[in-house]
This record gives sequence, C-alpha cells and structure tokens, in this order.
Amino acid sequence: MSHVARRRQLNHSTSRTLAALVGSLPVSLLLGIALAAALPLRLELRYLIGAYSVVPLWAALACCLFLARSAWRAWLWLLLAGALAAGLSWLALRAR
Amino acid sequence: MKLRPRTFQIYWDAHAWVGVITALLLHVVFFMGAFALFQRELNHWAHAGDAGAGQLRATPLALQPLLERWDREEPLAGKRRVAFEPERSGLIAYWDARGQRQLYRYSPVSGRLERARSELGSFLYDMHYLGPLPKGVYVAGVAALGLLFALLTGLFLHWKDLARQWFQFRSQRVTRTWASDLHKVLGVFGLPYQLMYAWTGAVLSLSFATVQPALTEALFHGDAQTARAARGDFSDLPDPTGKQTGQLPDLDAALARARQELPGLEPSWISIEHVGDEHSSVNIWGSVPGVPFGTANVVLSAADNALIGLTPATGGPFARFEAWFFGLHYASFAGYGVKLLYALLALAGCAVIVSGNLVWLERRDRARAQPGQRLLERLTAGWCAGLVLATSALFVANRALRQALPISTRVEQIVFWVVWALGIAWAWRERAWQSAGHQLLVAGAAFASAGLLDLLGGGGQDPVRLGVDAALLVLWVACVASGARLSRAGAGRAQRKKPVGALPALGGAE
Repeated sequence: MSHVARRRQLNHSTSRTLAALVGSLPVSLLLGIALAAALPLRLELRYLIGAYSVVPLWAALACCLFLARSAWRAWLWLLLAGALAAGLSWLALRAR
Repeated sequence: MKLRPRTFQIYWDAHAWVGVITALLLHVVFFMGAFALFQRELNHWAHAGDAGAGQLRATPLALQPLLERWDREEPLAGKRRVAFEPERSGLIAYWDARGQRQLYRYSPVSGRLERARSELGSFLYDMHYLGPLPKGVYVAGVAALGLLFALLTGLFLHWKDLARQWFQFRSQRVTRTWASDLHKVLGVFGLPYQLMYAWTGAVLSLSFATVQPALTEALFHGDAQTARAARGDFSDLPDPTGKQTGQLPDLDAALARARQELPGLEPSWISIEHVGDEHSSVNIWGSVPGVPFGTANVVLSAADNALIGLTPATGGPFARFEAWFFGLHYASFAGYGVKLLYALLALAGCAVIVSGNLVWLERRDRARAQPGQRLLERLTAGWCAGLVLATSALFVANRALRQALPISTRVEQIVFWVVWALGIAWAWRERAWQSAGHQLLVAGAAFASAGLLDLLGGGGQDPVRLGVDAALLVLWVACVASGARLSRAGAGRAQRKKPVGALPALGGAE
C-alpha cells in the first residue's frame, strides 16, 4: 500500500483529533455526573465513583474516538454519549 | 492482543504527537517532582540552620510562648492564616495575608522564629506543578492528561511484546535503536508509577476547579458544606465576621484538646484562621499511627477551644480512597526508601521523555534537514539540559549568597530563570546534543560545589543537611556520566555529518 493510500485510510484530521482530545472532556464530565447520579449505590459511593471516574473516562473516550472512521462520526459519538449522559443524569436526579 | 494495522498506525501517530507536544512540560514536572518529594529537607538545607544548633531541640516544647513573642515582634491580627508545621528537621511557620506569604523557621539558638533565608525547596516544589507560571497548575493538569493518553497508547502499541520491551536495551546500536530501547525499557518499568502520577496529577491540577464544582452543583444543588460532609470531611471552617477582637488562641491548650478528641494524633500542621477575628478558629491536622495514610483533623474555636469540627482518620470510603490516592502521589508512606525510589522513577521519566523526542527526530528526519525538526532538537536539548543546569545554579547561588544576603530567595530564583534561558540559548551555539552534554557536565560541577560548600560549612553535623549533600554528590556523578556520554555522542554525530569528498569513480558504478 502506498504512503498516500495508507494516510488516506488512517484519515487523520484536525477535527477528529479535537473531538478525541478536547470534545471528550465535557462528555467525560457528563458521564461522571451520570454515574454519580444514577448508580444504585449510597450517595458517598456514587459521589466517589463519579468524581474519580472522569479522568479514566476521558482517556477511554480519547482512545476510542481516535479510531473513528471520520471526524463526523467522532463528533456524532460524542453528541450521543453526551446526550445519553445528560438525559440519564436528569432522570436519575429527578427520581431521587 | 495484537492491534489491527490501522489501529496500530493511528495509536502510533497519536502517541508520537501527544508525546512530543507535552514532552517539555512533562520533563519539568518529572524533574522537579524528584526534588518536590524532599521539599522540607531542601528548605532546611537552604536555610542552613544555626551553627551549633545540632545539639539543641529542633522544635520548641511549647508553641504559645513562641506565638506571643512573634505577635509582639510583628502583630499577627488581621492575617488570613498563621500556621506552624513541626517537622523532623525543625519547626517552620508562616503567615498568609492578601495573597502574600512569609516563611519563618524556629531557631533553637535564639529561641525565636526567624525569617527563612531561602525557600529553595518550596520553589522547586511549586515548579513541579508549574506554579510560578500564570495558570501553570492547569497547564500541568493538561500535560498530565497528555501523559495518561501517551501511556495508554504506548501500552496498546507494545502489549504484544511487553515482556521483551521490558529488558531489551541495545546500547551499541545506532541512535534510533538505543533511544527507542531506552524509551521502552524505562517506560515499561515505570508504567505503574507513571500511570498513577498521570491520574493523580490530573485530578490534583484540574478536578478541584472543574469536576468537584460540577458534581456539587448536580448532586448537592451547589451546597458545598453538604458535599464536604458526603465526602467525610467535617472540618468546615467558620467564615470571619470582620469584627476584630485581637485575641490570640491558646495553642498548647488547643493541641491538648485535639489529642483528647483524637488519641494518638501526631500534629503536623497547626493553623490559626482569620487571626484576631471573633470567629477565628484553630485547625489541627496530623497523622494517626496504625492507620495507613491516616490523617485526621480537628477544628476548634480560637476563643475557647470549643469543638467545631472533627474528621477522623478512619473515615468513610470517600475519605479513605482520597487518603490513599493522594498519599500515593505525595509518597506519604514508608519513609525515605519510597521517596528515593519515587525520585529515581521521576528521573527515569525524564529519560523516557527525552528519548521519546529523540526517537521522533531519528524516525522523521535523521539528517535534521527540516527547520522544524532542527528547532525541536535544539529546544529539547536546551530546555531539558538547561533545566538541570538552572537547578544546579539555584543550589550554588544559595550557598554562594549565604554571606552576602540575609534573604536570598528572590535572587536565587532570578539566577534560576536566567541560567535556564542561557541553557536554552546554548543549544543554538553548538550542536544540540553536544551542548546538552556540556551543560550536564557544568551542572554536575555545580551540584558537587554546592554539596561540598555545605559540607565545609558544617553540613556534616546535621543529618538532614548531610543527606541533601550526599544527594547532590550523587547528582554530580549522574550528570557527569550522562554529560560525558552525550558530549561524545554529539561529537561522533558531527564527525559522521562532515561532507565526504568525491569518491574515485568505480568502474561501471555510474
């Protein structure tokens, strides 16, 4: 495979890199809040897991999003994950 | 686990780019981290004690007379905080007021608190999280996230042959091979340590400003006091009213009360909050023997030592998790053995970072034909070796200025920044790695000079100073060994780069 073809297959783009490294920051925070709000545990444990899972969640998201086929897909995944986390948090906090 | 070719290549590129972008910042964080572990010992060394103080108690038996004398000499009412820190190397104290902080040390000879001559240890500690730079702590946090990402992608890349990468170091091969081996060997050896530091460092630098407020808002409707209680922290300090009574607390009675509330408490930090205010309080932190990473604190009213709050060492899961999490970061367990191991791993982290940049350069542009790669090479050499040189200059400046200046903190720091800038400039004066080698040789000589000057000045009689002097001499050996190797490598590289004259034509070669 030529160098050009290989680079095309990798599809590196600034937008996907930004999605993986920067866009994942607020989404990992939302996921942390969702865990703290929705986990069926007592408050202290939920709070602990939510607070300390944000950094590992960011790392996991960044590693996954770099593998997205395009920047579009990376941002779409972020939007879906963020919406899911925000919705789950809202429902869980309303129910408590 | 073997990655698919596309995944491997993406992680390879991401690892390289994130690594090279964060490398120089992480080098500062790791290098200064080795010194930050010994902040108190370095502050003690830099202050250099009193002659003949070795035979006297390093900490006074009672704090109250000391506090009252201090207040007579320099009125403390109105200060946001006045704190005492009893430690093995002596008692230190400081006040905080309107963004200013002043450090003092107890002098066993005069029996009073004297302004600290130097804050060398505190400066190196602050540099560990880029504190002296504007918003430096957040920059350090972002670098810690970069480190975490680089570590994970590096782990995925080498997972299939991790055991081999652990031990394979071919020092006689070409630069690209030995640099790559060094990067991987030290990276794999230090992986658990670096992962722990990346996670804890990111939390320390970023979480308190971002994650914690967001969770407090979402879970506790912005009620910080309830959030603190959920974390098992019951040390809520009362807000000042602004009405000054001017009354100082009875610190010795407060310590006795704290020990009554928490039997076995060994106080390590005693502060008076909002000194002289009618809501002034005394906050006593300490360790509790027998509990791993066991810290506890008591908050008392400054007026009458009434109990305001108490956080036991054996708290709930949140408090225990944080005690371990931050205890691991600060190496607050198992004494000097672990601190030395941490320091060694921190310096190995620096080698991982520099060798990573070298691998980048050797893979992409071995001849350094592109201006960008030449800039990266010189910047890496000047920045990294220059930092070592600047740190050594800081130590020498401290000892050299001892007779000339009663307080040398500011001048020492100016020396540090100027020498670092000169070190970076040096990399443009000659071949990059050769300049780095020469800088390390000079740094070695400076570390040795500082250690020897202190030994000649009576450092051998004080175990803490003796320990620092021994460490400085070890740094001398390490700098000379690595400096000599880099200088030789740089010279050898220059030889190879010399243009070769036209070869005699070989029959049929054209």
